Amino acid sequence: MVRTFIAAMALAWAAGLAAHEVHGDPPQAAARAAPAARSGLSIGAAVSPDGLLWLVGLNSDGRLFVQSSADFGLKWSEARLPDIGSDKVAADGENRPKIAFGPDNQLVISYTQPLAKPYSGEIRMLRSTDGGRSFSAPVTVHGDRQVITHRFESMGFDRNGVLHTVWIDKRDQVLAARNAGEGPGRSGAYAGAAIYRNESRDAGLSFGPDIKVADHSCECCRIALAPTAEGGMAALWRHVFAPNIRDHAFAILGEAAKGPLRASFDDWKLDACPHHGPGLAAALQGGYHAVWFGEKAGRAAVRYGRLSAAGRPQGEVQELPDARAEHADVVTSGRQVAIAWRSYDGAQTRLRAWVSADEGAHFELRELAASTGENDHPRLLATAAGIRVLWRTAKEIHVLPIPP
Amino acid sequence: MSCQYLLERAARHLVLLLALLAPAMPAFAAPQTILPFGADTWNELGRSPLRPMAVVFSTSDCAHCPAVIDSLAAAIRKSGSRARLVVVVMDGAGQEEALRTNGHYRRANALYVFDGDAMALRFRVNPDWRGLTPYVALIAADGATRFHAGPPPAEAVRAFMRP
Repeated sequence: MVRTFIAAMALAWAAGLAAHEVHGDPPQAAARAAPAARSGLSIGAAVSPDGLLWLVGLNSDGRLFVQSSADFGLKWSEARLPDIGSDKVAADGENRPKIAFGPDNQLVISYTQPLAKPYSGEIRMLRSTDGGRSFSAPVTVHGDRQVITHRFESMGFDRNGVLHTVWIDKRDQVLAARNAGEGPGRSGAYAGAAIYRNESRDAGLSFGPDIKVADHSCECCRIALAPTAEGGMAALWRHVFAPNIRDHAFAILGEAAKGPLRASFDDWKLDACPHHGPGLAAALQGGYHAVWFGEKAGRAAVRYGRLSAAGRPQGEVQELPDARAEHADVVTSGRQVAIAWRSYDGAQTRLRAWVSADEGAHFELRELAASTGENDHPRLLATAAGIRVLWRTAKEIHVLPIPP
Repeated sequence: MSCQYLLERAARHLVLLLALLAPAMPAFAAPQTILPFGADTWNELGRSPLRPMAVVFSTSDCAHCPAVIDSLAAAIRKSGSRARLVVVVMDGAGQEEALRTNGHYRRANALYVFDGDAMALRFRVNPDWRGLTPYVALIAADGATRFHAGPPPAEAVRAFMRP
C-alpha cells in the first residue's frame, strides 16, 4: 500500500514536471516570477589627487554609491548616494560605472544607462567639484540621442586635463541597415559597431562633438585606455577585421588620420560576442603592455604582449600561466608590471597575479585571494603607495597590495 | 528500501515512459512565462524526456543571438522535428517585460532567465565555455550533447534533430 501511494505521488510529480516542460509554463502553484533585478557587483575605482582611494558601484539596493578610503580599504567612509533620478546603471561584467579625477580635483562618474529598446543605451555622467560632497545631475555625454547602442564607455583624463570618453556606438550600423532596407537589429550591411569618442575641456561640464574613431568594432567588450608618453590617451578594443576576425585594434585618440592599427593577430573567426575586452598600460620605456582574451589556432587563452608606441605588436606574445584565466587587467608602476585575473576551478574563483619587476622580461605567479561566491572582474590601480588590486565579491571588497 | 529510493526509481521509470510518449505530445506554446534558470535546471534539461533539445544561452546585449535563435527555430520547424528550442537569457533578470515582447525569444518553446553566479553555471554546463554568447548546446535524442560558440554548423543542427 505504501508503495502504491509512493508510486501515485511520483506519477503526480512526474506529470507535473512533464506539463511544465511540454507547455513551457509551470503549473500555476509552482509558477515563480523571474527574480527582480540584481545589483551588479562591478565597480570602478580611482585615486584622488589627495591620495584617497575612491570606489563607485551599486549597493545591495541597486543604488549608485561612492565611497572613499584613506588607508586603501582598511576603513571606508560612509557611502554617499548621488541623486541620479530614475537612471538605471549597468554594473555587470564588462559594464561598470567609472570614476576619475580631473586636474583640479574634479570628480566625474560615468555609467551606461540601458534603455528599454534591446541593445540600446546612453552614456551618462555626473560630476562633483567639492570632493564628492555634492554631485550634479547626470547628463548624457554624446550628442547623438537616437535610442540605439551607446554603451561600454571608458573615460579618463589625459595629462593636459582633457577628459576623454570613448564608447561603442551603433549609429553607422543602424544607418547602413536602413539604407540596405534591413529591419532593425539586422546588421548584414555593417559588421559590428563603431567606436566613437568626445572630449571635455572643462572636466565634464560640457562636451565637444561626437567623433568617430573606427568603424567595425566588436559590440560588447570593454574598451581599454592608457596614457601616451606625449600626454594624450590611447585606446585598445576588440575589433572586427575583415572578413570576420575578432582581434584587437589600437588608436591614439585625436590622431584619426592614422586610423586604427591591428594590435593582435590571434585570427579568431567568430560570429559571437566574447564579452571579454582587453587591458592596456603604458610602458616605462615607451609603448604599452597589453592583455587580451582570444582563441588562436583553436586555443582559448588570455595573452600578454608588448605594443610599440604606435600600437604595433612587439616581441613574443605569451599566454598567462592559467588556462582558465579571464578578464585580466594590467597596470604599471615604474618598472613593475602587474597583471591580475580571476580563474574558476569548479569550486572557487581564485584571484591571481603575474608580477614583473623588470618591465615584463620575467614574471612571477602569485595567489592573492579566493571566493566561493559571485565576484567581479579584478581592477588594478597604480597608486603612490604601490600597485593595488581591487576585487569585489558578494561578501566584501578586497584591496590588496601587489609589491614588486 | 527507503522511501526516497522508491520515489526516485518510480520517477525514473515515469520519465522514461514520458520520453517514449513525447512524440505524441503537443508542441510547446510560445513562452508567456519566464522561468528561473536555477542551479539544477541545466541537469534537469539534460535529463528531460523531451529530447532532442537545443539550448541557446543568450545575453541581452548579444547582437549575434537573435539570428541564431531564429535560425534554429526555422530549422526545427522546416524539418518537422519534435526538437524543442530553449533560450536562457543570462542577464535578463529585471528585464522580463522586454523579454516577453522580444519576437526572437517568442520563437523558443521555453524561455529562462538566469540570475546567479554565471561563472559557476558556465563551468557546470561546459568548463570550456568562456562566456561567449550565443552558446548553443544541442542535446540529441540519446542525450549526447554538443556545444557550439556562435551559430552551430548546419550539419550539427541536422544531426541533433535525428530521432
